[in-house]
Amino acid sequence: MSSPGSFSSRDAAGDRLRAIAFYRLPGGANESGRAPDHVTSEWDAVRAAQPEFFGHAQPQIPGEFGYCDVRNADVREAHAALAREYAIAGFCYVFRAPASTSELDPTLAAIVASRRPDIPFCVCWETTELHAGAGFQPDEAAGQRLFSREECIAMLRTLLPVFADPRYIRVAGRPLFVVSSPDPLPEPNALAALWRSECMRAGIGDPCLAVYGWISGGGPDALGFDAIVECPPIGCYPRSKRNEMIPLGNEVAGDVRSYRSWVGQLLSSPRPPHTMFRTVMPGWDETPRAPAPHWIFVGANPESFALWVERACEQTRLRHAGDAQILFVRAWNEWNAGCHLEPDARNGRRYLEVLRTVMQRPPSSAPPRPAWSTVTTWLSDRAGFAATRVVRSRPDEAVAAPGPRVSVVMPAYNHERYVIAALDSVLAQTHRNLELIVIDDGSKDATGKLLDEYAARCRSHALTVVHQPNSGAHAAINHGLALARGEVVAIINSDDLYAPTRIARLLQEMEHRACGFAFSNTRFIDDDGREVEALQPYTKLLRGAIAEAVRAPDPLYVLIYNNIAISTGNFIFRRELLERVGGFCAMRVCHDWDFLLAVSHETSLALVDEPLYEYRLHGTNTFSGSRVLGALETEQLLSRFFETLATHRLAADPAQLERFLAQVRRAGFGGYLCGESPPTLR
Amino acid sequence: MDSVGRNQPCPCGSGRRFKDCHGALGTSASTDATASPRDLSWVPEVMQVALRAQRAGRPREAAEGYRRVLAADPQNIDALHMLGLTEYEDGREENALALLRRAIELKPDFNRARKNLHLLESLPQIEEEIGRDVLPRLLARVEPVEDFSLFAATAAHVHIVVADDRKEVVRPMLDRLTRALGAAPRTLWADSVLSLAIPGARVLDPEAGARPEGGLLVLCGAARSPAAWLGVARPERVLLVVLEETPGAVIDRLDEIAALSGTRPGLACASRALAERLRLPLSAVVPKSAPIAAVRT
Repeated sequence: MSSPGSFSSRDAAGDRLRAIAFYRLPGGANESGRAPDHVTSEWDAVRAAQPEFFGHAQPQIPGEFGYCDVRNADVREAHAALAREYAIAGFCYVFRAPASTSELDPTLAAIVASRRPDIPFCVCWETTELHAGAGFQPDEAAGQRLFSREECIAMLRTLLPVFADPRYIRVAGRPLFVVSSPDPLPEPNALAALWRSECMRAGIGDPCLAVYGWISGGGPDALGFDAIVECPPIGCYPRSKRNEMIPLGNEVAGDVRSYRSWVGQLLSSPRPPHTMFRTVMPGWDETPRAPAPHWIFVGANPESFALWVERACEQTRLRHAGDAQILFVRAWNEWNAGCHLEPDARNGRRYLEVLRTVMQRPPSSAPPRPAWSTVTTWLSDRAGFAATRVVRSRPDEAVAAPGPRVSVVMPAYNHERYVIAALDSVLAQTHRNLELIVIDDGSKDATGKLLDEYAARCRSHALTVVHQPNSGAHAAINHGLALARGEVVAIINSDDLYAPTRIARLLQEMEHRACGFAFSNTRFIDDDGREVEALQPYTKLLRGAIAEAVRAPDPLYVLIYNNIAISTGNFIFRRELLERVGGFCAMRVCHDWDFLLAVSHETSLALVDEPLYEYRLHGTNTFSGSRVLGALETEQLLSRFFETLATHRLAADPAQLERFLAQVRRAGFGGYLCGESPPTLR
Repeated sequence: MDSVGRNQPCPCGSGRRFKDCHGALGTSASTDATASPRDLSWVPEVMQVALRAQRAGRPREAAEGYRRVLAADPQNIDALHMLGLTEYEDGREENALALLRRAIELKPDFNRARKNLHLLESLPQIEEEIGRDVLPRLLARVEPVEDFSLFAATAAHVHIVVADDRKEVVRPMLDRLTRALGAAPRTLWADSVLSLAIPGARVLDPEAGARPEGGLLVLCGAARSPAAWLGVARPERVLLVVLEETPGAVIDRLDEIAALSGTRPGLACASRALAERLRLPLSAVVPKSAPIAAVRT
């Protein structure tokens, strides 16, 4: 058996991202040319679906293919032609087991025998129907069909000629076999091993076994499988919209959910420690299943789908290499769940067009960290520093203060309410050898005016206020750092506070531990400066993580899954590091974390377990409105970090590296340790 | 008890199997609900039945059970927690949050409830974040209206429909629209509730035939869905005017307009702050000389 995650490595060797659409086969023969009863009845249910609220798009009416029967070879041929036209690389044929598992589904048999349609494919055995309610199996589940070991083996044997088909989709050379749910199978672990040996014996090679759906407790390896194929809408908790709908009858019977909130949740879920193929879905509306419990997603449109596909593609490229770069689409023709790429009367080919547009776009990459020489060109650029308005304080002549010169950089944006307190906390530092550089990043409130007045008043310190057009937090910090002349630089957010001894303490620790970079524990305060309740989940999580980092041999043990420094405002470091690391990259939410991990290559990090930074939690914190983007940036920056782990100072000591990697796996971040990347091979 | 479902995830969202989580709550208790009011031994059984209903996708039935438990034992934190979740599923967000907060108040280290509360509180933000990213993409299939007067001048008749119950938002918007229209023929509409606050508005009642017909339909605000009557109004054009909205509401209205009226919706954003926040083009809904709305140059 192969090790799980062995195809999750990332290489730069070409972009091979493939979209594979689930394609349901109806089962039953089609010799008479007449649709069998269950096909007719499924279409009947689709036809008969009644709208439950105003604006409810039911019944859904098929578009150019009509109420077609996919057991007809011409229909399949036409579907495949359309799919190819819209950049779909293949189908995953979903079949249910015939009464006797020693027979192959007749449609699947016809696809293999006729070699038509000529489109790559893999298969998914639908052991149990996976609809929205399947996550919480109803009591009726007792009536579900269970399979014996013999049936399962017979089933696999019928599939051997399918796996051998030249069109069959392989991942790292292994045929991809998807099973919808392991629940009705006996002892999945033993079964998986049997299946593998059957395939090996038949000369097909070790199959890549994937589970379609949700597994409670652990990854696919717990079942002896290799991968999970994500199965929306299972496994999420989208926002309910039932009460917003105006019922057409007495009440809305379906469970109405928000498509957008659900896209957001899926996209902000962390990278799993195992191989998981992402699945996107154009919509979901199970009304044809009424009166059984059914979910209806509202707010789906091609634009939201486009965003989902775009981000899922990006994640797929970060997570998988080569031919494992697969994005599944549920589904081509799941009509009774309102889930189909196949054109309908309302939207026509719009979802297909969106899919093609995104799939054909060149891959975008994470914003690079700018070289320091690039950042400093801003100083001499006529449209750069020269174009800003600068206000300087006129400090009284003073005796030189002891200790290293520290430049405090404050990016300020629309914080009129907090900025004075922030400045006061800097000037009140017990370490006196300071200069303060404030970059007003095009504030629209009174921040700019307050800063100018403050500079005019300030007699104790050199204070420079630079007013620039809004260019984002990372650029404001880079510009401030470019202007800094101190031996050491510190940053502070315009809504936060320094504790009075902060700089003195951190300088002391940097010297004592011979570190180029330090940060401290944090106090969380609210709008009015009161300490935030410690049990609040966000602060509680961070507290736990900081405590763990203090105990760990290196803060990096925790920094790989939690940005415990919390903010750039908590950074103090030797200015020379900038020459080696470069500036802050253009990530909107996580530029700080990215920088911190880059710095860790150059110097060890000192974490001082004293609350020397006061971080204000308020409604307008950048991260609170950017969870989805933050999740993507986190993945980008961690990928960047793990790709260069082999050259990291941690890797110099094999024992230390081994401990670190063990921690990475324990924390559930094993997904980043690509099978082929050097660190794990040791 | 069903055996297959017991390996499925627990509805409380713990990520554990049902049998290891809430399925493991006391199951062997007496079922005698007629015992003395102090006797709560029937509670675990009722909880189990309710949990099973919740897992089977019948949140209302489950909620009844939790309510019964709470009537006898108002401080039962499990019932408060689970009722919070069923209320949420039923679309009563405020109730849900209050119930979860109450459970946490009774047991400050009730981590599962805290995590669920955190999740439920973050869902609207996540939804809005996606909306913010999606809305600019939607502009490709709407017509951004830069000058309302010009746009309205081509219509035979203008129907203005109030679709927002915030007076402080609607009043200034109506003032501006009225001035921009000058002497052009127009009708002001509102539904039976909003019409009380808008003097001179005709009451929208599609069943009685009182609905805007033909011409240009101007939808003021995105807070209320026009789905209940837009399908029968059959306007030639529809224009959505927004002053202060969430991105999600704007997206949903534009989708509804396109689907129900079959026209390409016009969009006018009359507030600079909103235009910046949602990355929308700013529209002038008043003549350029008027000082209220900033004019795009």
